[in-house]
Amino acid sequence: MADSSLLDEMRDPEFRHVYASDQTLMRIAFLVRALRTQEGHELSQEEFARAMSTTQSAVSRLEDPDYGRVTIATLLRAAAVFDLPLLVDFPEWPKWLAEMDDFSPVALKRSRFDHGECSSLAEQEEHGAHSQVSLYRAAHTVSQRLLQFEQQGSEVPSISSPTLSSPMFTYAAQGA
Amino acid sequence: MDMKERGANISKLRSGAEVTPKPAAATDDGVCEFWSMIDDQKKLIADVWLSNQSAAVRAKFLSRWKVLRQTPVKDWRRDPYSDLRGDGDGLGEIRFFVDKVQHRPIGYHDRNTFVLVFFAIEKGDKFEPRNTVAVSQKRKKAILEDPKLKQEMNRGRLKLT
Repeated sequence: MADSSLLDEMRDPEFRHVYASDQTLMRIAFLVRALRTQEGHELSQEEFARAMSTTQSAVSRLEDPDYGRVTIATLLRAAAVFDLPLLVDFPEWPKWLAEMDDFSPVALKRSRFDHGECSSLAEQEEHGAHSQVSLYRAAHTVSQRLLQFEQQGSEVPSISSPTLSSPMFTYAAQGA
Repeated sequence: MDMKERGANISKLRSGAEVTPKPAAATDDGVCEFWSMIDDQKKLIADVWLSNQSAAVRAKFLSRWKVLRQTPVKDWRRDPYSDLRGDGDGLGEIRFFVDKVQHRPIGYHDRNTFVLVFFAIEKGDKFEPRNTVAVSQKRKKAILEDPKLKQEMNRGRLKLT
């Protein structure tokens, strides 16, 4: 993450807007250059230009952080050649700082589309969503039972169920 | 009036290749640390220069610096960096443009460090001041003879996670 002296400078709106703008332009230029020359997919500027149906000078401008007039349409064409999606966002500052922190060669590498990997990720997310729903239902049931005891003026029994005393349930209950 | 006094055309001082040759002393995968020459008051000339610049210039310089710090020296290339040649052989410039001014901080590579020795601007394919290259070479020589004339820069430094 950024250190305190850079963050202090970022209190100034002019500083942070110029800094963010330049980092974005540098990111585009460095990413295009890195992906164009990535091991196993190396393309010269001329070859990349042909694949994008544009000129070598247009690719050169795409890799020039001082050009500053790159269009979304051009980036989408580049994304198609790289077989990668394009993400445009207006993130909050902490997220942006974290995302832009690493310009190292490793951070600029990308894997191409892999159906197996995407399916596995989708399954994991689906399973995670089911788990969250189950936990929410359990927490809701318990809160309803507690409300009943409170309304009846009864003493609340201790929770001994292994499911309800598990760390996951405690976490969910605290989150609620 | 000789070439050095007039100031050589910068296009003749730059490497024309898309890929700048790796400086001989640079490590293959080394990440670059930035150092700066110090002045008579023992202040880093980079800090003194930065403190006299607008927010926009400081922001652009620190942005370029952050990226170059994480880029292996062998991959430093135009833009945002260019090696100089001819009279400027052994020197390099960081390149950025703010408010119609082409800024050119000048320095040299020493193993996995880049030592800033001068801060020039470019106008009409010439450095200003015109003696930028001569002064930069003189300063580089002085630092190589006395390494105490340089210190590491920490301003705006980013910690890699």
